[in-house]
Amino acid sequence: MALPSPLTDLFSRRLLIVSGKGGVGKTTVSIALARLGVRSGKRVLLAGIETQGELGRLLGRPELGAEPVKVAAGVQACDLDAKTALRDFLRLRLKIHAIADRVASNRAFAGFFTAAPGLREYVLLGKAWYEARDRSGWLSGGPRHDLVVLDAPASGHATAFLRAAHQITDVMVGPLRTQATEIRAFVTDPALTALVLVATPEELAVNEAVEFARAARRPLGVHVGLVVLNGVFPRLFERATGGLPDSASGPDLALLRAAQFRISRETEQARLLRRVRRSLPGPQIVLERLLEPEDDDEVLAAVERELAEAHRP
Amino acid sequence: MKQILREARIVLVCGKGGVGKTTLSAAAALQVARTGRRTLVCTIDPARRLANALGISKLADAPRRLPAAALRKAKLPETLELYASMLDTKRVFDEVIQRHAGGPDAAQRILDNPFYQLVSNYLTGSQEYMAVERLHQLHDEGKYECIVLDTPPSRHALDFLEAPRRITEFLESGFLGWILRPTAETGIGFLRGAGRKLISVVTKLLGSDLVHQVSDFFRAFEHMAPGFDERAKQVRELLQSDATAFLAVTTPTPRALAETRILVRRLHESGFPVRGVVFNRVACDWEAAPPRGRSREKPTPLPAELRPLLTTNFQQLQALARRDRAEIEATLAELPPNLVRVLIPDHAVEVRTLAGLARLGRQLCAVGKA
Repeated sequence: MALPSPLTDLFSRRLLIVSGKGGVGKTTVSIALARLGVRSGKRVLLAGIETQGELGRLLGRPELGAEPVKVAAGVQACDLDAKTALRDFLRLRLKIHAIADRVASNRAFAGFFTAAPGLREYVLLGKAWYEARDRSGWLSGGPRHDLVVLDAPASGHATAFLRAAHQITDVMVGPLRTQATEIRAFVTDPALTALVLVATPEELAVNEAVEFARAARRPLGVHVGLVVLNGVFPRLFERATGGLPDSASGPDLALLRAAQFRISRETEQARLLRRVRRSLPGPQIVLERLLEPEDDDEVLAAVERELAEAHRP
Repeated sequence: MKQILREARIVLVCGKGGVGKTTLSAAAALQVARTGRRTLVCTIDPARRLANALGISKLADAPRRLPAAALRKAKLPETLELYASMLDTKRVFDEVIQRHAGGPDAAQRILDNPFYQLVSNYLTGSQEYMAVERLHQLHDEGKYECIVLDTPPSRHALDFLEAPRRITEFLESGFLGWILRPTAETGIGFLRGAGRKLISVVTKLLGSDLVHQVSDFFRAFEHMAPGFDERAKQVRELLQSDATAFLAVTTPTPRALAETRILVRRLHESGFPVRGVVFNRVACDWEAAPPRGRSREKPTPLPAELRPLLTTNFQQLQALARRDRAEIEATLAELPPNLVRVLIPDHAVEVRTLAGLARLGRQLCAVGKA
């Protein structure tokens, strides 16, 4: 009997927060997860957090903005920005749009908001929550989307992002707190929200993932639902490291040195993969690095295929 | 690159997150120190591995000198003066307040404000801004002949440039503090009216406790704002002067290269000319790579049964090398022609010793064609 795939588990959540060190392939993994979500029958919202056009470019929709648009059957996408999130937040709180828009466009308020600690992050997180939660009031019913895949900021900034609701419930009283409490409950409920950590088999990326996972668990209390190891060199030399000479001549020298490089890289990777297995929680998936020249679409297709196979390291 | 590292008094290493800025900053600083200058590398990343490589147990805000034992072990001269420190945003912020608040009482009032405590820890862009403040401080002290500054990791390398503007906007929003004053003592009638309306809206949003803290904070901060502006201006001038060299670091992935092109252009437009671009982790072309030393052993023929495997590997790696090369060529065509370019090969294992950093430093200065 086939064991349940880590993805089936993952897709039972409402909100997936995809993060990791800069440059590890968060956006690619987010898009692949969104597509796979659709394949398992979900209506998906793929939301970038201030990716400044990167998400849109990869989707072939350079004009992608803060308003969700349909990008494929079952997938809507948007690239959230703090300004629009603030406007929506104010509209929701102040009810009358004209007043909300005037506050949002007030220069002093905008300046304050841009730099004020946690507020930007809070309205962005709030927006993601708003899209993922059950609708209440006269709109009551299911959520707008079955699954929200959030292409979140790099881990350094993502902690601030995840902490935003906690910060408000910890230090504030008053009306903001009520909503922040709801958001906090949502993102810390393992049945509703999961973190997807992306890392490459490099020392710094692994360190950052380990530290982020630790911070997510405590004090934040956000559940890690999946670890994706991206860009892993496919193993070639598993059984063949013994019989190589130390030097060679002529064109064989290049062959030998390329092999020596590959062997050290594979050994180093194996060490880091062991460390990931030991130190990171949750199911883990390894995605191999593509070795042929490829364009964005091919990378995406390959990542989607490999994620679907969901083999473990 | 050799000349840049010999002459610059400030080296600013910038680029998007995850391209290897911190390690390259340390390698560049080591290379500067080897020219006999007292050098400080100020990193943002609490990279333990870097601290280990430098022979320092833990990087801290106070600069620490590389111990002689570590230098000996890496076969470097013990007279070499290299210091390393790690930016502690909160601490720099506190020091700025203590120094410029206009008296210990005023300083304490700010430091005790709960809103300040939030701001100093989490203010958006404060890491970037405090790096600028720290640079100003260190340069003023004049203790180091060269400072290598690693810029904060961010999704977008340009954040570093934007930070001062963001902070200024934040301070200017002190206007909000004025509006929020519970007892608006001054003000023209209609402004007060508008203020009252805004105050009621904002109080409704944020709650009155926070509003009080915020308005206290801005009142205490009011007269410090010009100082912030002044120092930001001075740092700007310093960074635009000949004493400063900007280095952009990138990996040869299309996305990193695209950002680097934008970064270099934007820096030029803002009057911060980039002197050099470092392409890091470039797949090695094994056919063209010069032999590494000479082996004493007599070459033995490769085992025939391994040959197919070796050939597959070689072809795969060469394909990567060709792709990197093509990406870099395309990028270079779009960059200003007078930039120094350096290619650093992809190392199988990341640098984790001082000797490794020294090797990387030498590669940085190697004369080669890009």
